[in-house]
Amino acid sequence: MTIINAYWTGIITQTGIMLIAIIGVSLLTGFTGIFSMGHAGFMCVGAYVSALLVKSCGLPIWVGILCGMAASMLFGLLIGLPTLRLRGDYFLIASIGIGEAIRLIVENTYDLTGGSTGMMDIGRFTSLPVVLLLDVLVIIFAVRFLKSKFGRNCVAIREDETAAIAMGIDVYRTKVLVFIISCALVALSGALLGHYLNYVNPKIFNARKSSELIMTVIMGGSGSLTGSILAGLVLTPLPEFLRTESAQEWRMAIYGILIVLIIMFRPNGLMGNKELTIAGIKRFFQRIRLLPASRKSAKGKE
Amino acid sequence: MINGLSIGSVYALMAVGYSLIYSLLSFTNFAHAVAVTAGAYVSCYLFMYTQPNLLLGLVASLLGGALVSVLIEILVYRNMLMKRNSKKLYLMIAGWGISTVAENLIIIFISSISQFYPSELTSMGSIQLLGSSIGKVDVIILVLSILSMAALQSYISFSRDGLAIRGASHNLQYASLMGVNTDTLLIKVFAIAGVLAGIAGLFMGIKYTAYPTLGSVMTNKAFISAVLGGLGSLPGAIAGAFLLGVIEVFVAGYISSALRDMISFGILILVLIVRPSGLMGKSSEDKA
Amino acid sequence: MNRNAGKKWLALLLAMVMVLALCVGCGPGEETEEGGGGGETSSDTIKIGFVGPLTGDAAAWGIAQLKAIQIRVDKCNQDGGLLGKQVELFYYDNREDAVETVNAARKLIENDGVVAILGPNNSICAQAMSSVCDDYKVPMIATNTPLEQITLDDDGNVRPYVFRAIMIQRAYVAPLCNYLYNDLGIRTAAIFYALSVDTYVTFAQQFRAEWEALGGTVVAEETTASVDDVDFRAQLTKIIETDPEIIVSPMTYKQIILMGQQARELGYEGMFGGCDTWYQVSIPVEAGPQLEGCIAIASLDINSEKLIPIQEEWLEYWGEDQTLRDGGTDPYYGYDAWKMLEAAINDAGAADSDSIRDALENITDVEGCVGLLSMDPETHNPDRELALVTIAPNEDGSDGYYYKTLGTIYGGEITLFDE
Repeated sequence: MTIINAYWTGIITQTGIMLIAIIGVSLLTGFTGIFSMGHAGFMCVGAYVSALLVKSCGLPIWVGILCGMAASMLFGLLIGLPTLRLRGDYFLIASIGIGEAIRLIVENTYDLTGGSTGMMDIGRFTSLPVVLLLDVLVIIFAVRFLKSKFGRNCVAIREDETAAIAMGIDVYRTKVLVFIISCALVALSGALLGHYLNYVNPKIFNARKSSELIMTVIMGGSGSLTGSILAGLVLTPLPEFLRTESAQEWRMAIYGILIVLIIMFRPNGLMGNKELTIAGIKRFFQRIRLLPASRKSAKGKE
Repeated sequence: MINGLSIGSVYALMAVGYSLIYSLLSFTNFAHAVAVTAGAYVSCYLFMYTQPNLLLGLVASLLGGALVSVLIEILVYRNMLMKRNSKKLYLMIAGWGISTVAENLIIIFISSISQFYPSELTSMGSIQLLGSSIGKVDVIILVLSILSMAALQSYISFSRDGLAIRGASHNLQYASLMGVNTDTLLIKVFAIAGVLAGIAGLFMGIKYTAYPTLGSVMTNKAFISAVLGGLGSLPGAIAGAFLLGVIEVFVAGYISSALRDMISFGILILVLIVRPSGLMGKSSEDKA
Repeated sequence: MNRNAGKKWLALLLAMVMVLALCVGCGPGEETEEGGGGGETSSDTIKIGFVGPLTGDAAAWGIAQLKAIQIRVDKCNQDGGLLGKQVELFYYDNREDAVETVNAARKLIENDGVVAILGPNNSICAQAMSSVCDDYKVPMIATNTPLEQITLDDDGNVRPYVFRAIMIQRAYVAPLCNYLYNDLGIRTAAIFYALSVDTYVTFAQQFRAEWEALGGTVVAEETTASVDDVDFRAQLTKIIETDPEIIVSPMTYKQIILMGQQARELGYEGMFGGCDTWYQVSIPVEAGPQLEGCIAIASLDINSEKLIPIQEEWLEYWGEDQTLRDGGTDPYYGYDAWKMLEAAINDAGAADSDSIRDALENITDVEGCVGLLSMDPETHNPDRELALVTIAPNEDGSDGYYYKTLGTIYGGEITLFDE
């Protein structure tokens, strides 16, 4: 029995895959304030390592994906250790180079990776239930992370790095840690994408992909997980609905304008620091007078 | 070697404009690329209607570049620069956003296809210099970049505006308290950067055709040059640009041409980590 | 407390969605019986799909190709359609992106119920789409894609539902090398290409293999990292130092123009050579003087007289439309792809995907735009006529340069035009 056909499940699956990457970038950029324009490179690492292991060594796919995540974390460590010492704006420039460098490495290793021809038949794994399950797990992980001491340290770093140092937070170590975690998440996303298309190619993980990730996070709200998720849910399938002439260029131009406006006036993004909670929804409805204001809510779940 | 210098001279034109903004306002202007691309397209279109005259093109592009640069400043940067605690990072992201918008608008309203300049300009031939052939266009670029740097340096060092600019570079708010008209100052700075960008755009367009991502591709190289030579130092930017050009040629020649860009970025990262002030620049720490 | 509530809310939401998803099914495998490609044709139309870049950098080629196919579909319908049924053409833009191609293909198959798909015109997209077509058992005819891996998998088995309309790359490279070595007596070659495009990389590899097998030497091999690169002087200097007689370079047409200009500026005096990416009208216009005398292989002889009736038909149908002219050879490939499909449907006498597929494997002597096409069932590649071209000054007295055809190639044999 099919309620929705495979085309739509495909779209939902892809959105779910990208959501994992978006959450990864959100932790890094939204919550810790580290802007990286090359994160698609780590998606690429995850995807390729998994593809290689599955195709050449015949390992089961879930093992491949885990190895992809591990490889990406390792890479992230190697690259992050020197570069995370840089000031935020310098790191941004460096991150552009990182993304490009990873792509270049893949293209230069034709014998191993197929270079720009990509690799086919790497095995299917990703299907809608799998993706949804992983989405839930990742979200739960992200929420717990943010609640934890590490998570709060990250936010402190974003707000004022010098003050964070003064408070005794090991800024460098925290940055490295969150960087590695975000690398793992985007690698998971990349590997899932590869095993969804049954094909990998460096062009899938190019600068445009990095830009899309970061734009989604900025637009959703730098300090809000719900914001990033909502933005991801809306923006990822958007190209599918915009299939007219020049629509994609207009879409990118409008994104660009939105980004500029957001950065100028509301750098915390559209949702700011707020998350979606039941209490929050109640308060919203109370404010617009749909629900009676009650004294209970003041003492309620806070 | 000569090739390295001529490649470097293209970077130099861009690096000077870049470095100017950085040394005065301490942020990396991603939108510089937009002024460059604007300069290229303005002159390219001009040549569709007039005779291909280099001087005419020069004037057109420098005006185009300046206009675009100032426009961006007024619309976006001014607002952010005047705020007390605007992070450099945000300025960069804004610049990047602008750059994205510009690229896509060009694709929408013009086309993503490369526009070629008239062949009188693109095929000017070459001269023999020190045993290698070097294109005439490259010679012009070389000369221009040195001239413009010299002119700029003397303007900043000796003129009254220059004094104001140097003063303002330390703190924009204090400068305005001192009676400096920061609005006009900012316009002047961005206009100068825009002029340089426009000229760079013209020549890059001639050498490499005018296309929407013209500016952004070269902007990264310009940034690397400026860092290499020392952010905050104009002669440093030029030196850095030439150095980068030579290094690239060297890498492509003796190591691997495909890894050239990767190595350029690697050098950037290395310099930023080891000696952030570059060769000649002044170092600045975040004031705690 | 806030976050706990938030977490629970999100988990609840996702759990609901998961339940919904379980109703939907597990993935493409189970959809096959239901899918449109499974063998349903609606009662009175035959539905065909097209995927190509209709926006973005490659739009010029994609749109041209689509238009060429649309004319053929309309003419076919005017003549009574195929097997007595009208043909409906559905088309989507893939923006030359692999993921988009997959989505577009699924939309065509699932939502629109097409029985066959024409396109895409790009090897990476074709690779992505081939998985979809094999899964849903819907045949596809890729148009401008010379990459071998599209129709063959790693074990050398042919992918049952994937076909192509042009020849594989090896079919160009061999005659090119042959001509250069035997007819022109060249012995030393240099290869210069952009690494980021699959077909360029494979061209370089195959050229080297063929060239060395003939006895020539490759004196230099240089690369540039991406199709956005515009300055090649470092690599060219290195190449020129090794003094090759010819520089062979598969790159984008813009890079070819720039390379020609830069190489001449650096003092290079030898020849240039290339593959089918050279066959763009703007190249002789912008770099005629620099590239004069080059040798390139084209999948199609644009100067052929056999194309004139087709061009006149386009003129009549679309008016003074520049897109078909700017589309290079792509519209002709679209034409050929349609012709092949049409022949297959007629041969099969049925319009369901499996019959079409079987028939497509065995079509012979289909009238393409310049010659007859026959499909090789082992490889799903057609045999067709290629052309050998060079850039020469205009022969009608006007200033400028154009691509002059030196001869044609069929089955690996070169037939030169006699002057």
